[in-house]
Amino acid sequence: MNLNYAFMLEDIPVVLSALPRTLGLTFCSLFFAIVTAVLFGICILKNIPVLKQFLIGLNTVIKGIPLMVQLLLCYYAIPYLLRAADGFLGYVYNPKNPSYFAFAVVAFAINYGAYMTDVVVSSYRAVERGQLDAAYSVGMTAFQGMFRIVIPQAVVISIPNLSNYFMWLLKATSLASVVNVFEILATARMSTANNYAILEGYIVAALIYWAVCVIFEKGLNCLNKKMSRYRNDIVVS
Amino acid sequence: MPMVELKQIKKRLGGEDVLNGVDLSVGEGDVVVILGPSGSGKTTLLRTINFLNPADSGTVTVGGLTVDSAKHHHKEVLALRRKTGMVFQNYGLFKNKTVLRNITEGLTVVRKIKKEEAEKRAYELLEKVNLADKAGAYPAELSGGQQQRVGICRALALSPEVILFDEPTSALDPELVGEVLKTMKAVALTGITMIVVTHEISFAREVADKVVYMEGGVIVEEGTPREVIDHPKDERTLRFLRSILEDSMDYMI
Repeated sequence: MNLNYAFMLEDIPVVLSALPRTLGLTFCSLFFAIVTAVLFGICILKNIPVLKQFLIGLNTVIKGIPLMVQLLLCYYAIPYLLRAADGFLGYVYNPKNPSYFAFAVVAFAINYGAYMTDVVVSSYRAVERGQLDAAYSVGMTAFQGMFRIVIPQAVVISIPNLSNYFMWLLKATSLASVVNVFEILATARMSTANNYAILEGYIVAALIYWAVCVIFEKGLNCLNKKMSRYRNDIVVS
Repeated sequence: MPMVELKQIKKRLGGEDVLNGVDLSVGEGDVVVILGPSGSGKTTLLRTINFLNPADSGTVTVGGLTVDSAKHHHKEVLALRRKTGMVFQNYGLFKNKTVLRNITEGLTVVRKIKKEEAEKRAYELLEKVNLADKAGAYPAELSGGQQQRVGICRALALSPEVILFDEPTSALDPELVGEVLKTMKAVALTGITMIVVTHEISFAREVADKVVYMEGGVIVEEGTPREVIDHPKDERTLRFLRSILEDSMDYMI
């Protein structure tokens, strides 16, 4: 195959320069997705009437719409909403400089938040209930029992699942290239605009994604092993 | 004055009366064993004492503190729980904490005792049950019998006025029951008040000051082990004792 290897080498640092943007997008989205999932999860676990049913319904809606479609919806709908909010509480809408990055974060946070809600709920339920009784029996308050005994274990139980979602999210951020966010994929495409070495550009992007994913996967495995040290009932690979 | 006193404890669960007005009085330093078939309400009764499952009505008195089941403030419940310790059927150890931390947790977090002091107390107790070498292990690394002995240490560490044992040997493999019963006997010898729900008749006979037989949410019969186990007056007690004592001899293969 006749690839322009020289260009590929040259292109690596160019594409790599977009790595911080991809990671920023990933971590911002992850943060807000977790916040969403925890809030949704609390409402579902606390069995708050109406709100619980509403959130369960909303989750099926979010999961039933492709992420790409949600990104486009946010891309077009959020500026519209912001314009409507102009003047509200002193907010000034600036149509010249929309933050496509933030719009993408909203879409990813909603989408992944819906999936992670299930992780939050199931991890919490997986903690053996008797331990909360035991916490009460030694005189702990409900708050102490929750934060010292139940939640730390629920967090550990959720790590493998959350790691998976993190890896998917990291790669899914490439979809944001379609909605004007200059992350790795968009940068790779743009870097080939002058010499038409399009395939080379995509290969560079693919290699960078792969390398980053391998590093994170290793790190998350280590974290999981370290955190679930106390559970010898499960096999950590 | 009795150490523990229950008056007219009533509780409904899932549309059924589980406890129908139970009165029970336990003297200081007494070991009371509650016997009864499954579904008789004995575990439920035990859990109403420290309000893990509060009764619908009736009063609970522990060490001079009386709490009304029907209207209790969470501060009262907390105070009551701090006078009691509990040992659970499934051990209930904190899985994310080492043996040492399981025992010190209540001391440092609830009683605000210094860490070094709490650890000293924990090691003293672990020495007594021959588990000092497991202080750094996690519960999942221990056998059931070892876990339950840690559970007993955790309850003891807080120096409660009464310890509640909820079928402490029921989840154990038969060969591990002995070590836990031995520990419980040693605890009884220290003079602490104990209320024990169990099926171990031999333990009741040997250690109990008082045996209570429950069925259908009421106390059918109570008295010394000699009175209740050897000379039961009630037909129901007799039937229950026969069923568990003679079970193994009913048939041959």
